[in-house]
Parts: sequence; C-alpha cells; structure tokens
Amino acid sequence: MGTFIYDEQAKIGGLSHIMLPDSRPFVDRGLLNTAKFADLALPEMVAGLRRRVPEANLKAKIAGGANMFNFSTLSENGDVGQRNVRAVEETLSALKIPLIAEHVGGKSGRTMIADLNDFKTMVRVVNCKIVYI
Amino acid sequence: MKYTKLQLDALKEVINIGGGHAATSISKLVAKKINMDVPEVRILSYHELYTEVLADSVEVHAVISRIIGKYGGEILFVVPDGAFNKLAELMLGSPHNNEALKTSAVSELTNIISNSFLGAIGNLLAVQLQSTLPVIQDDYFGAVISSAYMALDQYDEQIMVIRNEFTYAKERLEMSLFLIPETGVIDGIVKSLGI
Repeated sequence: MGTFIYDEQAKIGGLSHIMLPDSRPFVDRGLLNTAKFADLALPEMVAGLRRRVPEANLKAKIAGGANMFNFSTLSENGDVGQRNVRAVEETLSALKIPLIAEHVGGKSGRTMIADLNDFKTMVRVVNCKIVYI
Repeated sequence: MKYTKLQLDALKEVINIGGGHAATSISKLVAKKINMDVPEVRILSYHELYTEVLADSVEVHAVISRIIGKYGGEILFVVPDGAFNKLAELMLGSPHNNEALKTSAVSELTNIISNSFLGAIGNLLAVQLQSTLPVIQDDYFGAVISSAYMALDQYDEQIMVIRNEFTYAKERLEMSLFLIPETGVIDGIVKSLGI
C-alpha cells in the first residue's frame, strides 16, 4: 500500500510502501523493518520530512489495499488489504495529515508513482487506464 | 528460516519427483515431450526474488489454487504473456484468438500439473494432498507473489521459493510453478523424511 505525503509549497514529499497495518504482533521477532508497517513507517517518514521543513503543511494521497486471493484464512477484521487502508487512514489522522485522494481496494495490484515537480500522482493497474489522483 | 543443506536437498528431491510426474502427465496429454528442469529451492528476500527470478513489474497470468490435505499451502503458476499463448496452443493443438478458450485451456493444464504434482508428493510422503479449483488473475508479478504469501499470513522479509520450470522441444516454456507452504509445513515434510 502506497502513501505519498507532501507539501507543494515547500516542494518536499516522501513515498512509503507498507505491507502490514500493525507492528505490535511482530515485536518479539527481533529487528523489525519499520518501513513495512503502517504504524511505524508513516510517523518515521513524516519526522524525516519535518526535519527538513519543520513548518511543512503536509497532505497525503494513498493507493493500494487490494485483496487479490480470497482464500478466507482471514480474520474477522477483514483482509489485510482492508486493514492496511484503515491503518494508514488512522495513522494519518493521528498525525493530523489530511487525506486528499485515494485509489484503494479491489482485487488488482497497483503501481504508484509520485512526481515531485508537479506533485501529480500516477496510479497504474494492469489492463486498465492510468489514473492520476 | 534455517535448514541444513541436506534438508534443502531432500526437499528439492521431493519437488523433483512431483515435477517429474507433472511433466509426464502433460507429455501424455499433448503427446509431446515435456521436460522439467531441476527445481530451485531457495530462501530469498523479495528483493532477491525480483532481481534474480522475475522483475516485480512484469505482467503475468497467475493461476493459483489452494492445497488441502495434511500439508496445506498454495500452488501458483506464473505465466508471462508470450508463454501463455504457447501453452494454450500446446493444449488446443493450434493457435487460437479466443481469449476465454485459451484461459480455460491453460487453467486446465495447470490443474492437471497441480494434481499430478501433489499426487506424486503425497505418495512419497504417504499423505493425501489435493488442490482446489484455481483462481486466475492477471497482474504484476510483484503484486501476485506478495499476495500469495500474504494470503497464508506469511509476512517475513524472506520467503522460501520453491520453483520448477518446464521445457518443451528445447524451448523454455517460461511457466514457473511456485509451491507456497503454510507455516510449519516444510518442518513437517523434513521431519517425515527423517532428516
């Protein structure tokens, strides 16, 4: 699931690619890759952006959260795609970063490309038209 | 994930037997000689998988079915576009333009491979293994493979990649078979082999 956090005025932005909503069930697994979890990756990226531009007026766009194979080994909280979307939304809201646009859910994987020149965000899905969010 | 070289070799041999049976059953079906390469059993990170096996941005046809029985998991076929047409032609006996027919032919082919593969492994390990009806999805390889592992709640940085490739008349068919075991299954197989 991709999250683009940016400020057009300050010309700064970062793109995160998480795979899981919550790092807490994994804390006993040794060294965690913080970039993989919504609850760790987004605060870390925002801290990095704010180190460069402390007063940045940050906004976010998100894409992803598909559920490709429905084998229903899944918990009652929904599939991992849905849970990722929810976790990213909650983390953004806790960080007080408004969500401007999203392209989420469905069954297909997405590629997300953010351009730091004009802040256009391209979302590509296999066999579909490219969209900008 | 830590296995000894001997255990990985034994596992490779199990997969080799499964793949050999699968190749034989396709050969019989299409009355042509299909061979299988020595399988690959490796523990890789996603990054290594995308650089050494197939790039994550390649568009593929994926056919996936669930393995049910004593050892659960998934069997995933990854077929790039060109190979998809070649496989369909192999099954149908001549080139066709009907996409639905081609999809159905390739799906049936993978069904036969899955079941003979699992049948042979099951025999060897003295357990019964079957696959459910396949789900077909066209997508980027990266999205397919990560979704397949995550559907089994496997979120590790490193994955065990068990892969077979088939060849036909010296031409690579570029169809890869990935066997994705549920957590604990590899340990169970290694144990039942007594190593």
